[in-house]
Amino acid sequence: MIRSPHNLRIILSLLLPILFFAALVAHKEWTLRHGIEVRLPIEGFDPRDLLAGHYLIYRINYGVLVCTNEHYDQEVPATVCLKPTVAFHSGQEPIAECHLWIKGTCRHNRFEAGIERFFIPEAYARPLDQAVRNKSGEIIVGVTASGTAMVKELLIDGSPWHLAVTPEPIRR
Amino acid sequence: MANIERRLQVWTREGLITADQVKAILLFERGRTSSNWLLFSFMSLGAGIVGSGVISLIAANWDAIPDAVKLGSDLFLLLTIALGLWRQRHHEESLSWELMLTFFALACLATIGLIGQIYHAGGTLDQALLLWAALLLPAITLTQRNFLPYTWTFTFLAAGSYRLIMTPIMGPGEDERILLTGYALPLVCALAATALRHWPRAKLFARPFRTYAWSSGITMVLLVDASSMDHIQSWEWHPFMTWTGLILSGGIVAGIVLNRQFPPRVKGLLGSMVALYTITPPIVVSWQLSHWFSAFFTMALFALGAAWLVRERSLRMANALILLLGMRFLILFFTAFGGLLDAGIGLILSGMVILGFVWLWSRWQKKLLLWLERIAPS
Repeated sequence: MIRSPHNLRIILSLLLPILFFAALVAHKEWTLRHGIEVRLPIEGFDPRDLLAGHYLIYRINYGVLVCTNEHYDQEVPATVCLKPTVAFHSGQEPIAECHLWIKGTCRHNRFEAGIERFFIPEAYARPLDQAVRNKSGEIIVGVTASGTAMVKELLIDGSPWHLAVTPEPIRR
Repeated sequence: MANIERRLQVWTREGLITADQVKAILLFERGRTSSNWLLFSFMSLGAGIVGSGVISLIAANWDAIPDAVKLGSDLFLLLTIALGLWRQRHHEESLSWELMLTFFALACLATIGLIGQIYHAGGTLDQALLLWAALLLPAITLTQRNFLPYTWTFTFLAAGSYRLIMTPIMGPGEDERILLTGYALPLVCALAATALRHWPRAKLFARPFRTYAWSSGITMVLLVDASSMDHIQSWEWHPFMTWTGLILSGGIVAGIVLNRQFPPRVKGLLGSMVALYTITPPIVVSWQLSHWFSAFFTMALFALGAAWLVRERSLRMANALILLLGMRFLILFFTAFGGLLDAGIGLILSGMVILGFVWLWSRWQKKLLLWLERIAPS
């Protein structure tokens, strides 16, 4: 029954996205669990994604100037070394002495590593936006040995965000 | 429907068909047109509303529900719809099959949003839509109707164009990338439509690609023409843009030449249209032509396009092109002649030229119709 080419086509067509999503979730979980935790200060504001709702978008303060050259106005691969010393490097790989780094891209003089947003519930959008604008925000990221980073937690004044701010009633 | 009724009256009067046949035709047409339009309109509306609801629900980001529960429920929902589709596999023509396939597509889009939200992914909306298009392509080929292929093609083209514009791989600046994408998009769509026409499984995608080739082509021609008037847009043309256009149009012309269903005159008509479109933006933009010459290109393209659409029996689209051609003609006169008096005389003369052509048409109608019949599809 399943072996007919048409049936097989139906199964594969429907399973492809489901298996992909399962693998994506597994990969994200693995990165979160096996990444080395790093705490980075942030500053930014709150726009809205049509698909996934409210999120904070912020600039990460790496403690070093990143993508400042005119050359970095275009899309250029770059890395930020975190250990043993914080440094910015152009290219896909950091220098040999670097033990822990985040890989990303310089775009319009900003370093983007896919960790520049944090999705939040609608009711927390305004207070969190205010807190991040007041420069009291930090993020905890998990960084793998290959330089992939993922956001684990958002901290406000050193505490997890849901403990630090109170939700506001949603305007209807 | 009114059009059919008028025709049926004429045919009955002329004794071509009987009153019983008229009744049977009307019954058949009434049932067919109304059910199809109503069905698809409500289906699109319903699917759109449900999709927006699911996405809003996810976007609300309920922190009271643990992430694992949200993800687990989402994957369970996807599996349930997939199972429902599997059970319906012997009824692929049915509405339930189509509805479930639409829900599956929407649920996949919502899943991308949910995963992005839970893991705070830094991707953009266009990247999410491109991922959706790539993952859903095999599933969408299972459809038997036009709704999903049109939606998929539009999503793919819109998100793909945006990504190309935002990725600095071509040309020096964003303006040039916008120009190149706008110029190449109709050619890419036409090439895809030409290629997919020969592949029975992908025939449902050939039609949306053809529709978007026409709409984006007309838009590009109008924008290029507008740029020639008072230098609305200071565009810069680069040789790589011309080469891109030449390569793409070469592929389209090869597809036209190799099509055995087209007689030589049809190949000539289509080939001229593709060639004229390919050279219009490079010539008008890089040579900074005045609106006089630019109008010639626009009107020639619209005339060729209208001739092709009449042959394809797309009469509404052909009428729209003729209307645009007429409007361009009027703009040409008003911009060419400063005063109302000059413009008035010019318009009267042009109107008389058009009326002269109509008179000639009425005299040579039979010869022209015979010629059109020879190039029309058998």
